[in-house]
Amino acid sequence: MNISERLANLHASPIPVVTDEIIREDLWRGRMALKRSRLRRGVGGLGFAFVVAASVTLMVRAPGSGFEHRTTNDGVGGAQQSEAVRLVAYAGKQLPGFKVDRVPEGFVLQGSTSSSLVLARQGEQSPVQFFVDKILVSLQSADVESLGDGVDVTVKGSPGVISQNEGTRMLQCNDGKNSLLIQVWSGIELTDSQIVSFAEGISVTSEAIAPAG
Amino acid sequence: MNDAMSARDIEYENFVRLRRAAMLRSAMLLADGDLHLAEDLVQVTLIRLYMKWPRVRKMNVDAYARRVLVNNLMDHYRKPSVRRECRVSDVPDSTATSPDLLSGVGDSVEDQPIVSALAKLPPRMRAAVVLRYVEGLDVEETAHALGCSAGTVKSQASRGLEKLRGHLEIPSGERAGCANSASSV
Repeated sequence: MNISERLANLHASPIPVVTDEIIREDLWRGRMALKRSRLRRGVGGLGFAFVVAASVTLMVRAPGSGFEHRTTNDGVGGAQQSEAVRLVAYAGKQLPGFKVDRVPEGFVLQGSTSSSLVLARQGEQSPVQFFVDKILVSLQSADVESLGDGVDVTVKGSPGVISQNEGTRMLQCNDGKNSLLIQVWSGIELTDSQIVSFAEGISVTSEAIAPAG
Repeated sequence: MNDAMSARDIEYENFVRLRRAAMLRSAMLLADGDLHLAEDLVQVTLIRLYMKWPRVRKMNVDAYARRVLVNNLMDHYRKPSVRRECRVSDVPDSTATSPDLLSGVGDSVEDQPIVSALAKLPPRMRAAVVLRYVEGLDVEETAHALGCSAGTVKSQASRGLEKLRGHLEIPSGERAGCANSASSV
């Protein structure tokens, strides 16, 4: 058999059936993305008007005649750093693999696997493997050596880095024993210091298994 | 969210039911045999399809999906974090998979040596070979998916085949025999 035939045979490999569950999840993701897109477009016009008004106000109130650059943000990528959400002690049922001391108010533990934990708002109906508008705690492979680029923080005395991608913030930290990634979806208004505090309230238990590779 | 199915939902669902598994298989071959990356690429592609469905449904949906998939893949390889990855010369015989998530797609590919050899090709060359020889697209269709000229597809696919033969250590006799078919790329 020559190489072209071998390549063509890859296409002839049997295809597994796509289950209704997978299709339902694809549909859900599509709907959510469309909803977010429409929301952004709707808010965009209002946001522009707000930004113009705020800029004018700042310029008028600035001392002297020159324009003064000022910022109220001290976090990653301009994330709003006022404490819009409180961290509260968590008294609910713990899930295997992780022990959580505090959660953002209104959030519950939605589900866990051997290497991850998902927190969602109370009443959230989406499947646990969707991370939109949720907080993901993920145990990383021991092979992950670099914490990546971002703002350096300290978690339980160990180094950590908070980075941001399209509004979603990620804290990576490593205490020498476990490497954790905490992903806070865009729109969940925790400050960087609250994310660190949340991370410090997480303990990895013996039931958790770090992925390999 | 309203759970009522719109016309968009019904058409989209039918497309996903018919085409998702094949998309995942193509994505896996395009993505170094990495099933998890392939699943991500397919999910992102399907989201894009859903959002653009009113326009896409009037077009060749498969061609559009392929184009989006390839663009997503190239975007992935352009990420600095991916470029920093340490690449090894030997590809593992098989990739660890999550059966629940990935529905055993990787298991259905029997010829693992050629999958491993494909993974050694540069991304665009691999894409040209997969679309041209695995998917069976013609040169123009492949060029559309890759966003390049027909001439580029011909040269990339031809060189890709030659590299595959090298990686698979195919004897020179067969190489010579295949050179003719390669010239008709």
